[in-house]
Amino acid sequence: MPTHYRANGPRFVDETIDGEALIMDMLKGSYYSCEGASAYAWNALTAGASASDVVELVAARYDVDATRVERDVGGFVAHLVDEELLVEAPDSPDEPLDRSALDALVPSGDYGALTVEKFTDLADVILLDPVHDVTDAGWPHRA
Amino acid sequence: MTGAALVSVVIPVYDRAHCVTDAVDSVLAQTHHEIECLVVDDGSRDDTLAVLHAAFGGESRVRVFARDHAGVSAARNHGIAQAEGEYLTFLDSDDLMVEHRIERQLAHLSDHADIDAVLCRGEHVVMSGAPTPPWLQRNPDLSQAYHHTSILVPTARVRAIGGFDEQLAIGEDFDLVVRLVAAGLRLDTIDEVLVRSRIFGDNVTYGIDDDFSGLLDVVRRHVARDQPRGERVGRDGPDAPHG
Repeated sequence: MPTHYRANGPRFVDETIDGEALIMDMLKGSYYSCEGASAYAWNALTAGASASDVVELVAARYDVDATRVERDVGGFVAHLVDEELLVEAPDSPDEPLDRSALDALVPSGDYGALTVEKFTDLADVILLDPVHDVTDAGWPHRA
Repeated sequence: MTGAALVSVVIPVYDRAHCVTDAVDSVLAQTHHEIECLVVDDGSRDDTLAVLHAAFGGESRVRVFARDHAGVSAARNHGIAQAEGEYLTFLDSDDLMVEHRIERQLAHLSDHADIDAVLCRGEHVVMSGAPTPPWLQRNPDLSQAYHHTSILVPTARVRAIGGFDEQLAIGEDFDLVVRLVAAGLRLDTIDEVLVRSRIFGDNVTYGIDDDFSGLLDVVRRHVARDQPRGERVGRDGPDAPHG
């Protein structure tokens, strides 16, 4: 049974604009950025695609050898889980992945290694932000 | 030495005839007496200007400016340009300063030579008859959160970064602090409520449900300005060394 994932909300919030995914850790004040194929893979994963689905999607989107992509996706997912941006979803998604919506979020281009860049320079300032709209699950308090 | 420093308090106001005089009175009641209060009317449609002139026409420490409607950031920037104080801070027109706020903030700067600016907590007070905003209902802990506009900062530092970004519809106060810190400002906090933020039922804060997009937008702009980075992780792929 393939593993499906979701973004680790409400702790992490994210938004993809012009092919760049920005992910913020509202608990620690760090933020992450990824672009291109990495942003594409991130959005596919958080939409419920399994790792093997993402390999197929990325290989097709960026016209790159699936064997290479499989290695990259494995490392990318492991890293995102290690950083706690991604968590396993208990079930596969109710709706099939909307591939056209995914393609519209991130333009195609040259394939690069799947990476996410982490920044901590604004941690103290982000954690001062006074008002955050969260779900009924409540606000994550500082450790 | 901060004890005798002139502090400029900028109050942008738009259609607040019913409460703006309270805000100005709280500035004039400060225990730190070297104060100037710059009230910038952002094209109010009600009697705000008339109320201000009637209440403070003879008060030398209050200057009132009337402008065409251009938004809160433009109004604050006008106040910044007019400020004569060595230090600058802000107050929303429906808020009140605790009477020792400026004194407390200046003392903090005086006691900590390694910081340049300091901000404090504000207490959200829901006024009689006003509905409690959804975010406050869900998170009562946020009733005493830090307020970016409570920052007490050298006027020159704010001018050096160009003041508020007038292109931002929300998050402009957070953006100001981000750009100040990115420009090297050493910021500290006072874990004390020194602002009372009054919720009347028509405040902008009711629309704060969009705050995450505002927050993300500010950070995205920061990234685009290519500021010095923090920890780098996995930049060259999963097999690359980290950190």
